[in-house]
Amino acid sequence: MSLHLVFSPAGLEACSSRWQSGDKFVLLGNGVYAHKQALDVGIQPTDLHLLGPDAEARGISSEATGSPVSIDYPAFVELTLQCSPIVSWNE
Amino acid sequence: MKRYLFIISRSPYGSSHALEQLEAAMVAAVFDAKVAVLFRDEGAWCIQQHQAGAAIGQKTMTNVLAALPAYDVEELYVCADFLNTYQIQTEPTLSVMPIRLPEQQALISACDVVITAQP
Repeated sequence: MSLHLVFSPAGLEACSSRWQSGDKFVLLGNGVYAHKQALDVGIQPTDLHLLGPDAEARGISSEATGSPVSIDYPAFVELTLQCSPIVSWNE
Repeated sequence: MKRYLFIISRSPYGSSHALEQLEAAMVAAVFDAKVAVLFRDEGAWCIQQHQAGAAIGQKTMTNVLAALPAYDVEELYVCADFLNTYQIQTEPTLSVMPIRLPEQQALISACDVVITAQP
């Protein structure tokens, strides 16, 4: 099970045709702006995470967006331990 | 009086582009220029409501924007198409006018100086 780290909307675009069912996703930095598009490309809400501080700074919240789960740094680290490989999409 | 237009095309926080453009706009206004700002493409994320820059140790962009009228920068525009496509929730305390592409063309051609400062 891969963990995709999406750093930008362009990164999501690049990632969107290169993932498999069951993979996990963390949107961070400007990547949090792509939360709606992430759901549109078929990523399951339960597999999709927003890095909390980055989303909060940008005015993007889980409540506002519906389903993606906001996570803090410890939960982010936990995900990196559970998944392999870890793929960065930083376009 | 010369009319300046500063175009902001990058989202806040990821780079210093938006903040630097705004600082330049405020300086221009201090020197008695007539200044307008256009947020286009990812720059439109600058006016998203409920921002909290402190979460990542940065200035909150909407607070910086709220200070613009004090510098006589009161003409703010945003690309209406980008707002709609990404369903951006505009900060309600800011007075920013959404304009379509033809109006952006007219705005650009009506200004004496246009600064894009592409990163």
